[in-house]
Amino acid sequence: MSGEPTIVVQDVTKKYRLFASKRDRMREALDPFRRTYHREFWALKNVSFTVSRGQTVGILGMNGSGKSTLLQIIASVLQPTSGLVRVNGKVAALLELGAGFNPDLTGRENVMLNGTIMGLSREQILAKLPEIEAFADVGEFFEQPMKTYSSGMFMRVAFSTALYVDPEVLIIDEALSVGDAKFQEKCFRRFRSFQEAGKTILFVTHDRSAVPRHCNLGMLLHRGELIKTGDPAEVADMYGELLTVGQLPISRSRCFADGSGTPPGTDDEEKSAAAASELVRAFMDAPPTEDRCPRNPTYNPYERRFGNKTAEIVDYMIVDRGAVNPGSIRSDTTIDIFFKVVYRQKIEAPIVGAVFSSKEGVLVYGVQTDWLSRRPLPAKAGDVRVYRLSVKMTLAAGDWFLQLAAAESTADICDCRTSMAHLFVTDRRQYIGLANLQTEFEELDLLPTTAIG
Amino acid sequence: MSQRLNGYRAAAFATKLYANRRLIWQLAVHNLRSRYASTLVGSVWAVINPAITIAVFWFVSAYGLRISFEHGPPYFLVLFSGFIPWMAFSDALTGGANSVLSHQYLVKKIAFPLEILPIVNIVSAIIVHLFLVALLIVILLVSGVPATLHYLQATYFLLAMVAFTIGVAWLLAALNVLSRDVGQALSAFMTVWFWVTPILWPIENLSPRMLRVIELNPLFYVVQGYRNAFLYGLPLSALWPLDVYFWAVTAVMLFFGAHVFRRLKPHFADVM
Repeated sequence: MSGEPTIVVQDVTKKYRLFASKRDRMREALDPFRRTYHREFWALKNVSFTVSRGQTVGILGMNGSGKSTLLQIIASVLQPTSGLVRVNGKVAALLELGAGFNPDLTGRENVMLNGTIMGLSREQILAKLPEIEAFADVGEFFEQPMKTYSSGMFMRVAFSTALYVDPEVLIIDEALSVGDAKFQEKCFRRFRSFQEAGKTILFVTHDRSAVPRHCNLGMLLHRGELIKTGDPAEVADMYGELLTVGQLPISRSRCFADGSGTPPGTDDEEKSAAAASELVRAFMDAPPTEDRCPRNPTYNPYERRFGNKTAEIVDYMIVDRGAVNPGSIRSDTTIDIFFKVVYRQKIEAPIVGAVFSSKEGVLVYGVQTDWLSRRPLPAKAGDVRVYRLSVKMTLAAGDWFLQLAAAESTADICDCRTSMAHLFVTDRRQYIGLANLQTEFEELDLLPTTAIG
Repeated sequence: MSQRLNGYRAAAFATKLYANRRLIWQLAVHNLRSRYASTLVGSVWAVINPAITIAVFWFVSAYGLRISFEHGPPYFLVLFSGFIPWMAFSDALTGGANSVLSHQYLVKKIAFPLEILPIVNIVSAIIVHLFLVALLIVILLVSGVPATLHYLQATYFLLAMVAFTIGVAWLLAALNVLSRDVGQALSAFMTVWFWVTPILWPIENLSPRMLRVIELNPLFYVVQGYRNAFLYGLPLSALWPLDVYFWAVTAVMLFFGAHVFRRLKPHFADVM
């Protein structure tokens, strides 16, 4: 983190000119009096930051927030409208799949060409070629024109080239998401050796969990403004909230955005806990006349719902340490899931339950009152009940979907709402897989007798 | 002031060309290779095609139209030595005008010195051209025309043609990105240009006034220069004072082309 900065971005602003037609564009470009024929769009507004040697920066932001524009300016593909960008050292940028690669040439020829564009001599490229080929691992396709490649193979070759041309700064715009998990892991491992070698990496991703795991600096862009720079986990949390709530959580963002405020302490937590219990009361009191689930910010409009509707889930709420329906949940915290069921007919022994599954649809954990040896009270037509499930979220960082269900028996489902809620879990600890099994490690001393024997 | 600025830019551009010489060469070779990729005899087509075109033109003109040059070397040689610089020019210009569009993968999302792209296509045209020049020399020797040091003058006319083409190619390549009409119009215009250049027909039949008009075509200078070098053994000064006119036109084209290219360059990635 020490030494002189590799990247200095100072008050950078990018204004796009939107033209009604190509003709207006040509007119403006060639107008001898430099008259204008466009509308303005601000992609970046007064963005400033510095990145030191060896830092890995994860940039988060919604679509259209200016992430790509920022990377393109740092890679000097675009010129800023105003402001200053200084980059010390050679930059390798992966901004778009296919950029810089001729689809008619083979993988090998493209690596040669790309190396030349990066300013390497023929000998230097030839020396690196075996390593690049091995890292890309596309087999015989290396000798085939790249137009025959799958997007994954294309990315592998592009990535390997960028990693091995020995840049001081590596810029990656979402390219990594095309690769399979194994290759991604290989790349992240390579990132680490980059970090150790004091090189700088900037990458944009939609995988929020990757930022705390691989970066030591997080940045959040929103509508062209850099609203937060700092601890990757905090930036990922804030982005999660931005995604689910759709706007900035004002109270929290303000105190962090300029770095001058203090993080919410115990006082605030107590206050928010009080606020939460009030919200729980409001939740209980809300009339069960309509389906209120879609109003929940964590609601997933692509849920799948089925059942005989003799009972209906009409509302739900998730509480995490006093935060109601949070945009992100820290792994290992216990969350409360409240949900409200309206009974349309008499059900002697209702069963309710919840299921967590991954975005690929893998069922990770499911439970119901029967298995918990709990029996909800018998219900008659018109009854309204609120249930609470307290769940310890030991799920791994990432996106998870929650299903809630009410049934008369396992065969008689009254209302099942699959993938109804979208939860996002963050975790700064490193491990792979779906859940954190919280491993302890210990190295044991061998007894001297064993060593001899 | 603007004179000095232009001079500075020209120097900066020359430096850029030199710095990127290996890249230009690599791209030019790839360019040729991809054109003849998946053909059986590959780059031999680059020479066979123009040779057949010349043979057909020669047959039709000499036997069908009975065009003949009363004095001097055989008509076939006159045709051949005039046709190959035209071929090179036509290849270089049409390729150059499409150069930005055809290298899309270098325009978007990568920091690349785009102004070298028209040069890439010009270089690949010259590679083919050099093979044809070699073929011309072989034919000349076989036909018993004595080889002279005047051959070296062709180098000067080749450079002159390249300079002129760079300017026009910058202009057209940039405009072509914003309006594809330019490419279409160019192919129509090239046909006209071919016929107003004395390649198939002798200038001896022209009236002096007509000759003054025909000479205004910069390609006239190049084509006649080639013939003077290879066939007539005339010195460099033979076309004077056309040299002054040619270089004036070329300088204007270079400055104008560079200016338009520079002005339009920031828009390329947005419209492609």
